[in-house]
This record gives sequence, C-alpha cells and structure tokens, in this order.
Amino acid sequence: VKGLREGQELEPFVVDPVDPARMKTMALLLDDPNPLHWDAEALRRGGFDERPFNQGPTNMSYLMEMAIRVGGGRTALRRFSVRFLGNVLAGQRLECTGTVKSVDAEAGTAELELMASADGEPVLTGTATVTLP
Amino acid sequence: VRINAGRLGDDGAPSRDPTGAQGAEVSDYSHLVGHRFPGGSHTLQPHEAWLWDDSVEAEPEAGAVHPGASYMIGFRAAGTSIQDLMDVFETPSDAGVMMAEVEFEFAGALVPGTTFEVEGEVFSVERKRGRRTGAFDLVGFVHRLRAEAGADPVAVNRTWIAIPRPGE
Repeated sequence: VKGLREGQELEPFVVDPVDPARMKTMALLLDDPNPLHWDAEALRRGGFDERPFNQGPTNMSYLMEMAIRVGGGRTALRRFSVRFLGNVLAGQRLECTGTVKSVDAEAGTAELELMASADGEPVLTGTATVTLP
Repeated sequence: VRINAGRLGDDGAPSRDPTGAQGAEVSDYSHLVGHRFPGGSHTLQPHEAWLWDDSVEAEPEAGAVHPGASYMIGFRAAGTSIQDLMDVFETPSDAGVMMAEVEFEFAGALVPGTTFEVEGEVFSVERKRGRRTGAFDLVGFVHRLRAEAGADPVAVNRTWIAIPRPGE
C-alpha cells in the first residue's frame, strides 16, 4: 500500500493534559453512573486522590483516532481491539503510539499495533485493521 | 476474524481471556450467560456526535460519526444501561468495575442521523482470581448495531468487564 511500510512508526496522538471536564460530558453520553469519573468526594471515600478516572471508552477512542488518521478517515477502520492495562487520571499526559505490523497490498489493508501510556506508564495496548486509499 | 466476508459477528466470541488471569472458576452468575438485552433503537443526534468528538479530542469528519461512539449507541439502544447491567450482576455503581477488553468490527460508516437497531446479550461469565485484584467476574457481552431492522450489522462491539468480588 502506497506510503506505508512494515515497521513504520505512526504519528503519535497526544492528550496533555487529560481534561476532567470532558469526563463529565462522557458520563452523560454513556449514562455512566460511576462517580469515580466525576465526584472528588467519592474518590476520597474510595481511597484515591482527587483526580477522576478517565472513562475506558474515551481512552480507547484516543487509540482509534490515531488509527483513523493512518487510514485517512473514519470509514477506514474495519477492526479494532484494545486491552486496558491501567487507569488514566485527570491531569496526566496521555500519549498514543503505534507501528505498522503488516501491509497487505492486495487487500489494501494494514494491521497496526497500538499502545498508550499515561505519564509514561502503559495503560492500553491494541490492534487495528485499516483500509487505505 | 474476518473483516470483509460474511456478516459481522458470525465468528462468535473469542475464547481467550483478555485479563491474563489464570484458572477460570464457575461464577455465581454463570447462569446469566445468554441473558439477552431487551433491544431497541437509537437515532444518533448531531449534538451527540459533536459531543463525542469533543470528549475524545477527535477531529470531526463530515458524514461519519467517530467509531468509538458505537459504544454509546450500543448502550443507548440495547435497553440495558451500564447501571442496568450492574444491577443484573448485583453490583453497585462504585464497586470499581473495570473494562478489560473491547473489540469492534465495522462494516461501514456510522452515519449521523441514522436510527440504529441494537440487540445484544451476555456471552460469557467466568470467575477469575488475580494476585493484585483478588476474585472478580469477567463478564463478556456484545452489542450488534444495524442501520435498519433485519440488515446485516454495521458494527459489532464485544466488551469484557471485570467485576470485583471481594471476599469471595
């Protein structure tokens, strides 16, 4: 596939800092009642500091966004999987990175290996299949 | 997993364990395997698509909803909210439920304004034990999104969540 080669590093996708206000919006979009995403008092009661936890669907969407940009658009994403390794907290620096695992020129697809870290600690790993123009 | 052959989701649920914990046991909630969500529909509104993009810091794209929003559509339309699912598994909202793994398959674009028909069910429940986490139930469920009733799914979302079972 033109422009991509096996082993190529992807353009990183960075969120810095992770914004707690967006977690409140996401809680409403998902109808997610978990107070650890928005309630400092609940976090204290749970033995955490006051930094809310980013929602899993938000974290995975960061990785998706990086894959989408490789494919050149949202319809390019055909398959995506993500494993959650740790929490992402408000105020942290989230960085998504990835490489091209393989390119199938005949099928016009590429397999991507993805990961994300929060303040340097791994928090997500994933894979994606994208079609390319 | 096929991406361009057959219907999405025909290959069933993967059997591997996304958490890496060893030694599945029978859960007190194993009888919930096969529990079907009521199902229903949701029309994706433009403001929802906009707010999803903003919340995940994505670049908007005309005519295509962010694929991550498939997750929101699934819960909104399936007739079982996140809290409803927690209630089925007798779990309070602040129990520390964690997402373990999610898989998506897409057959095409999620178009704004579409009324998505969604069905889904719980496909696996396993009791696991982790060194740090202690006992938990690993629950797998699926949402299938159709752009019109009876059509092949445009998206299939499979999710595994870890529900802590302290003291068990």
